[in-house]
This record gives sequence, structure tokens and C-alpha cells, in this order.
Amino acid sequence: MVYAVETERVTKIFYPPRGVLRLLSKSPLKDKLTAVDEVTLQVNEGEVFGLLGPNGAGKTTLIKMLCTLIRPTSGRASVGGVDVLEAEDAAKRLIGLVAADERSFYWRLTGRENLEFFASLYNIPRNGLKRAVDEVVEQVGLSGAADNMFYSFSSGMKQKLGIARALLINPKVLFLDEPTRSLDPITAQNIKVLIRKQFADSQGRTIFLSTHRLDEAEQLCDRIAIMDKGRILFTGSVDELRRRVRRSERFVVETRNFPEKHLADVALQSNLSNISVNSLDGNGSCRMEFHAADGDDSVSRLLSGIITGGGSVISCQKQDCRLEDLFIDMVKGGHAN
Amino acid sequence: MIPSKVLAFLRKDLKLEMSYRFSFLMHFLSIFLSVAIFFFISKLIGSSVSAHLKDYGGNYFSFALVGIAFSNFLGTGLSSFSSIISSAQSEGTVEAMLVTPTKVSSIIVMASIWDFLMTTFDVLVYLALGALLFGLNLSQSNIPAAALIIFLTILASSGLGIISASFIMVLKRGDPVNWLFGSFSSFIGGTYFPVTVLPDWLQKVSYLFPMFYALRAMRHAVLQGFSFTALLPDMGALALFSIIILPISIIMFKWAVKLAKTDGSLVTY
Repeated sequence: MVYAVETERVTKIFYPPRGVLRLLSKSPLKDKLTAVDEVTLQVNEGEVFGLLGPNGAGKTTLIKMLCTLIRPTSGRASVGGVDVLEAEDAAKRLIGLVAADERSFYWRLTGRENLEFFASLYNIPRNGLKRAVDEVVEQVGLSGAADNMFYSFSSGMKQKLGIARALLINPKVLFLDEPTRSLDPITAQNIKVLIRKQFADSQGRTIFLSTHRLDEAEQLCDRIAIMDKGRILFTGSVDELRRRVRRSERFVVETRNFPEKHLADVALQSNLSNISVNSLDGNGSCRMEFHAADGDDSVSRLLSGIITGGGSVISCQKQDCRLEDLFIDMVKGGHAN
Repeated sequence: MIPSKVLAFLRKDLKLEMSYRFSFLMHFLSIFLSVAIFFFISKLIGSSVSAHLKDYGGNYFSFALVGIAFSNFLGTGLSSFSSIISSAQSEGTVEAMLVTPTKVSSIIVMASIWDFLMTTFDVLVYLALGALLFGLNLSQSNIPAAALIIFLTILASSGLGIISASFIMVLKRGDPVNWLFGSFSSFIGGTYFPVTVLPDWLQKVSYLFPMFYALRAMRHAVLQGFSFTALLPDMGALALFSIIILPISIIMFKWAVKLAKTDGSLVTY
């Protein structure tokens, strides 16, 4: 089976300069840095695949390796079945990259002039160039602004122009490196709709995106991989992630007539974890958040302890498990599947 | 496909250049001032240096003007490729270009064409101002020979320029080739004075620089109308420089790109 994107034990180690180069250039590296560590992934055709991880996890390095901009130290990577190292030129014909850097255009040219220039580098014939540019500008909703100077574009328009450029080649795989970074919520939502509804659902493109925003991954992606310190910790759907990591439930309890310190003591005696207690009025009204192990009676013991101690329970709610918590659990725990 | 890419680069560069119109105007004013300065220096020194310039027609203004004008080709060949890389790295466009199926070597060659066209335009302005306003005599010029010398000069200096770009690709700043063949050869290559005024040992050093042969041949072709046969030794030397330097430069550039892709510094500056 040919995957849209496939990596096999791809590793990237950055070394500090050696020999003469060490004398001539200054590198931020004092020691070797393993940015990507034996990453093996398969992305199916037509899938929206999200690469999640904290800053410095190795997401951008992995995307750049897949886009032929960085050479892997070892391992194999292919796009549409084409090896990115052995057949770099052929691989580039299948790749559209939307980089995180919004400076990647000529600021004193219009949006359209920029696209026409890059279209030539993508080998689009001169007679089809105008049509190709019109099409991608239309797709990203920039038709009305394409003839304005790039320096007058807002961040959202710059990002859309970056997407338009990546679409010029009609790529088999669209790589998006943090596509909503530095965008306001409304513009970010527009970009997400464009990615999910138009490129994925309508056009059936394979999309490989990186993000550190879990809500974004949940909205956009069919499957995700969680990456930290260069290693893949998890691959699967968001639901699978929830099932895998969730071992406890999160609760919020509000009480009255029960001092903060007593509440904390009762919580500890009830075998709860991740306890956080806040006084609401300094007069015995408190809000407490905690985690309780799935299926035991610790919450009942807590409530009983409050009531027998003379306090009142105003409310007790079980919270939905937040994706952020799962992500933090996963990264802190370093679980790998 | 290549012509349409070349056109795309030229169109882009023309639009960018035209967006800085005042700078364009100032540039031509600088050329005028430079021509005028050397005209008056020439008047000042009069015929006192004629003995040193007898191989070139004996007039310092003509000698210096041709030297300054045509050394621009060497300067462009030397610096254009590396400045294209530096600019693309600092502007952030390098990654967007390198992810396209166009090879990096093609990109820098095509991007340099605008610089060479502008240099040609500058040289024509130098010569036109010299001839129309300051009495430069071009009546004997062997124009086809001059064109061939320019072509060979561009080839030889581009080889050095590509080596220089390789250093920039890896080291980002500080490139010894540009320093040696740019700054030093304007001293030793005969731009402002004939190399015969230098000590013997330094004259011998000048034979190692393409600029020496390029300017000597160009002065002979433009000011004295030397034939192709008479210009053959200097043209041969320039051709030899190109044959030796160009393959080395291509190997070095490929190595530099590979190194930059390996250490992940392709887009850093």
C-alpha cells in the first residue's frame, strides 16, 4: 500500500560544527541535539493528520525533512511513495508547504505578482499561469485583495496567500506548519474551515499539519501524533487518546460553612489527587477541583466527610476530560504506543 | 520552461527596482559624479603619467573610466550570487523557493541575470557620459571583441562568485573569496592605475587575478580597437580561469547546499 506520507525510523541529529567550521562559525549547539528520534508514521491518502507537540518537540524539523529542506541523519521518508532523499525533484512535485514564516513573500510586490513568480518556479507553463493563480486566489478567498501590495496584507491574508502558493502545484500532500499561529480567533476559524471543509472534505487532499493547539487538532484532524523531544508518543484519533490516557475523572465541588483547611484535609483522607482548593468569600465557602480514580468511592467519602464535619455541599460536578490535560499527561508521562 | 522562469525573475526584479525609484535616480547621479571626478583628476595630472599609459592610448581619463566601468562586471560576478542567497535568507523567501522543483543552482543563476543586466546598463551609462560630456574617444572600439571579453569575464568571475556563495551558504557572513578577489583585485588588477607602477613582485601577483586580463583586454578593445588575434592571449587567460574555476565552484556549491541541508541552516542568516 502506498501511503501519502510515510516515515520509517527517521532521525535527525544536529551536531555542533566540527573542525575548521567550528573556528569559522558560531553555533548555538554545544552538544549534539536529537531533534527527531526514530519517527515511524504512516498517513493515508485523503487524511488530515495532525502532528502535536510542545515547542521544540521536533515538529517543524520533521516537516522540513518531508519537504526536502533538511536531510535526515538516518531512516527513510517518502511522500506519495516517492523517496524524498533519493528522488528529491520528483517528491517536490507532490508537496505544497505552508511554512510558519509569514515573511516568505516579496513585500513590495502584489499578492498576485508574488504568486505568478512562484508559479513559474513550480514549472507552471506561461499560458496557464494566470488561470492557475486566479484559481488558487479564488480558493482561499483573496480575489478582492490579490492586487494589493503584500506589505498591506493582514496576518490572516498573508497566511491565505501562503496557502494559495502551496496550492499552485496542486499538491498531493499539503504540509501546514502551525497554520493558525499568530491569527486572531475569527481568522483562525476561517483558516480552519478552509482546511477542513474545502481542502479535506471537498477536494479530498491529504493534509499534514503541525500545531501545539489541541482544540485545533480536535477540530481538524482525523488522526494525530503526539511528539515530544523528537519522539512520537502516541498515534491515533483524539478519542483513542482520551481512552488511552484517561485514568481518572475530574470533579468540581462547591461547599459552604466548611473552612478551606478542613476541606483539604478531608480531600486528602478521601484518597483524591490533583487537589486545588480556593476560598470564595473567606468565610467558609470554597471551590475545590480534584481528580478521583475511575470507579472507586472516594467522591462519596469526600461528600460524606464534608457533611459530617458540619459543612454543606452546594454542587458537585464531573467535568469533561480536557484534551489539554490528556496532552500534558501524555507529554509528562512520556507514554509511547 | 527556463526562458519563462528567467522572465519571471526579471519581471520580479524590475518591479522591485522600480518600487525604489529614488534609489534608482541616485544611482545614476553617483555614476555621473564618478565620471566627473576622474575627468578632473585626469585634467590635474595632465600628461605626466602618459609614459605609464602608452599601452592604453596615453590618456588617464579613458584608462580610469574603462577600468571603473568594466570592473563592475567582475564585482557583479563576484558578489551577485552570494548577495542573492543572503537576501533570500534574510527576506525569508529562500525556503519558499527551495521547496519548488526548480534547482537551487538554477535559482541563483537566474536571479543574478538582473544584476548583470543592470551592470551592462551602468557600463553603457559610464561610456555614454564619458563620450558625450567628457570627450572619451570610442571611435576605434572593437565592439564584438569587447562583448566576448565581457562574456569571458562574467564566466570567470561567476565561478569565483559561486565559490563565494558557497561560503555564504555555510558561514552566512564573511567570505574570503569576495574579499580577496573583490577588494584586493581592485588594488592589484589595474582598475585605477596600470599594474606597471607596482613593484615587480606585485605585478607578478596580479597575473593570478582575472581582473588583470579582463581590464587589459577591455582597454585594448575599447580604446585602441585591438583585433581578436591581438586580444587572444588575454581572452585565453580568462577562458582558462573559467575552465578551472567553474567546475570547482559547482562542486563546492553542491557541497555547501548539502551541508546547509544537513545542519538545518539553509534558511538561517
